[in-house]
Amino acid sequence: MSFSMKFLVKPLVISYGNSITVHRQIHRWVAPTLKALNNRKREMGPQPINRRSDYLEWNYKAEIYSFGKRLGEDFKEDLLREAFTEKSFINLEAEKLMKVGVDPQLDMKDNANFSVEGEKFISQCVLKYLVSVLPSLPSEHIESIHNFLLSDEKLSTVSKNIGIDDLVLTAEYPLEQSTLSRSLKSVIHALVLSSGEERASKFVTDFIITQLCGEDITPLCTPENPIEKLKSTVGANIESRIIVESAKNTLLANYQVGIYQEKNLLGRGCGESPWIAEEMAALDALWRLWGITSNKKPFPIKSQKIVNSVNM
Amino acid sequence: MSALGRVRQWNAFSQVWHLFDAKWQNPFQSAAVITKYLMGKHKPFYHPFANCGDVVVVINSRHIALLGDEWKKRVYFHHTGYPGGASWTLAWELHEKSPTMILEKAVYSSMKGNLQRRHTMKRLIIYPDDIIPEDIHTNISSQIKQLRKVPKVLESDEVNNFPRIFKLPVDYVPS
Repeated sequence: MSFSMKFLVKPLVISYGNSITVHRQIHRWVAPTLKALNNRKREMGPQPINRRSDYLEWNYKAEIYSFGKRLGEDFKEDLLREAFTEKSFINLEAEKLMKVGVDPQLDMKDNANFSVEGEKFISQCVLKYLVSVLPSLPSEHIESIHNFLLSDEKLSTVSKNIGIDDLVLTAEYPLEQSTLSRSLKSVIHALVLSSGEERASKFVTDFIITQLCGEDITPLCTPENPIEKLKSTVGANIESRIIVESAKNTLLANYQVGIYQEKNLLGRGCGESPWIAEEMAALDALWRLWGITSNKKPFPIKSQKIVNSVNM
Repeated sequence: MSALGRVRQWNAFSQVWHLFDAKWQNPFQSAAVITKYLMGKHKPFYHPFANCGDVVVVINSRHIALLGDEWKKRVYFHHTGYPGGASWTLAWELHEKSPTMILEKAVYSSMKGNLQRRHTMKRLIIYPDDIIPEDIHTNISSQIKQLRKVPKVLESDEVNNFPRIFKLPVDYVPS
């Protein structure tokens, strides 16, 4: 409900009595009307959310064309249509035709194949990028960052933000995360087929790898037993010492522990007990070795020489 | 919150226990310094609503130094609330009754009078001498610098043990 304020307000009345008074009021009918409208709305209960394509002035062909143009890409129309078509939509259409007694011979293809191919391509691009920017990170952690980027949660966010959710042809609405991410993967495969792999890999860098920006990746790079991991990496002759301790006898006790090897500080950590601090120090030492400290420079997005071979 | 973020927060908001030696110090100037640490104003992320103050342990409060004839002239007022209940106590009298009270009152009145003040005061621990209980002592991890040097006095080990060629008898009178 939106009303223009000027229809709700009485015209300006200025009366000159002993003093000048200005009356500017809202009409008497406004409050009861709004109340009645609100009551009716409440009685109707929750209404289904309309998709954009339910409205009259929806031109799917124009929308699909402008989708590509908004992103600055040239898609082939039939490929993009296939990328946006879900299996559930084809089934729904077939059912509708069956109901009216027509043989459902639809020549539509769903995006199942496209999404599989697209996922392979994205995965390859992301791995190439991660291996080139984090050369000293072990492969299992590269894998976990890769899985984080390719999770349905992240991909559906990207998908929604570039406006795919209005264009997907599917039975369910609002869309599930898996549908959104499947559509994005298919769109990327459609881009590979339309403009080539180089262009598509730039698209992946721009829209999917940028999700790493501002993301704390240390939880993704935390081994199960950091002290054992550090010993197996740098050697068993490491030594941990308490560097700082304060308020030992209180609830707010705080310790800082440093891990040394041959009198060189490898890493330092803090915590409420020496054991937690030691674990954090081991993690800090590992993160320093792997080049993912918290004061790391942001991930390079523009000037990136991506290595061509993936050594995984 | 990640494991790193959690311990980093813990480390930033950890309570540090400071030691302050009040020997030969002006209690009113010291109070301003102690207040700064009690309220956490020495931290870059100080905020009045954040619980970021430290603990200060003061020793040797019996040996504070007041300026000029402040011991005789400074008066502490108290009123019991009953008619005729007003009393005025001189600083030297108060100090004899309680050797920690002058410093405590100095710190208390150096803070703004708000609801937080009494909670902040609970983080101040004052001992009249340099004897601290063991459980308090283990918490201390920092020391606040004294405002002025403790001056040398005539009756000290340094003077008595100073090497000399001969010692005059006590009843020696130069003729």
